[in-house]
Amino acid sequence: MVLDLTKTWVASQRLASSEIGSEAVVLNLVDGKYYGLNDMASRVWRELQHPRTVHQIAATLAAEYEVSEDQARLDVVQLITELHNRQLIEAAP
Amino acid sequence: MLRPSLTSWTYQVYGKHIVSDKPISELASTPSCDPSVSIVWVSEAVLHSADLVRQLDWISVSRQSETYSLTYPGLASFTVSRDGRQVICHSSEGTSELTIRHLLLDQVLPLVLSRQGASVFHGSAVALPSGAAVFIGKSGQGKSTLAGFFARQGFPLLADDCIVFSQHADQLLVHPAYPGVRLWGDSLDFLDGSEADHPFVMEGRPKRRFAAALQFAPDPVPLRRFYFLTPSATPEMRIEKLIGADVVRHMLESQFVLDPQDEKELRTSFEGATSIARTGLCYRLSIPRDYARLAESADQILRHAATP
Repeated sequence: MVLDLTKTWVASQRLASSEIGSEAVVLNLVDGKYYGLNDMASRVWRELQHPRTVHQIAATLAAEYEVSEDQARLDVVQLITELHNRQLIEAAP
Repeated sequence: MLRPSLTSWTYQVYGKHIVSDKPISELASTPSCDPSVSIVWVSEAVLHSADLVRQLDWISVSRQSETYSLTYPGLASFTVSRDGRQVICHSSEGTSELTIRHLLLDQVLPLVLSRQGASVFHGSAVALPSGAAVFIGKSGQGKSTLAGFFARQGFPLLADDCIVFSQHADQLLVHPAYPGVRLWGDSLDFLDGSEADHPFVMEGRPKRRFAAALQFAPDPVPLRRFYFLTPSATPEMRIEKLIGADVVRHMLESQFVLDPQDEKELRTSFEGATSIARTGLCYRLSIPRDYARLAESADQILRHAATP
């Protein structure tokens, strides 16, 4: 799927998530699948608790992780595509 | 859902009061009170039109509009109200009450309590001087043997098979189940010298119940250590702190959940697992598979649990 970069994304309602130390853990309540997110993915996940665009998240990561905004955008697109494929995020209304 | 009954027995198990219209000999009776679970025993099976929600080798769970049916093929079935407050035990012809009580106490009630919102795990637990040590792990990893060994040394047993937690102020409490551990013959031989002196847990299965000479904790005990037993790759005992997502993954694999398709029950179970994971009391434990070294392993666990 090619991600629409103009859309705003937010964590799905039909899941439970928490933070254990610096790692986010997520349970999809629809299929019962469990995910542990690494440090950067957990940071993105925290952003996605509120509606965010790819560009907004990439700008935050670029500032915090000292990477270029282009590199951050590539990473965010990849992660958001994966989260969307696993029904962990949805397009915000 | 329940039929009226003139006689009833009240018990406390897993931190809950239950009332039954037949005695349950494994449990100590308590004064009458408002029960969390009411149990009725009937002899006839009931057929329902239902949606299958899970199917395992030994149990199938299906859902009707007001109830769940838990079926143990050829042995018994249990009808459970959706809120988990009422249970009807249906015995199949030829199934002994011993077997049905085992299924009720060790399999159905844990699922029922999950339905009521409790955090329920498959494992064993003992009360050490520093607090409750919980042992979780796949079948055959030595959970019950370890708990039995500690109990044989005079540390009160809290539970074997089903561990129920509750949050009380800022403490996580481990609730007592009922006296006894279920052991394979070789473990019983090691712990008590004679396998044959102990009753089978249920007909046709090799495990036996070891209850005599074991102290049992009458009250809940604050959690001190949560150990995940894993196979030992070396002959040495290892205890490693578990952090992050792995802790929750192990916990979810060990939880009792009646209806994994019910988002509310799944969410509550997840919240229970993450609240334990956040305590920082979770460790991976590997012990040598050698009865001759069990005392040494238990001693190290005892000292580890006593450290801050």
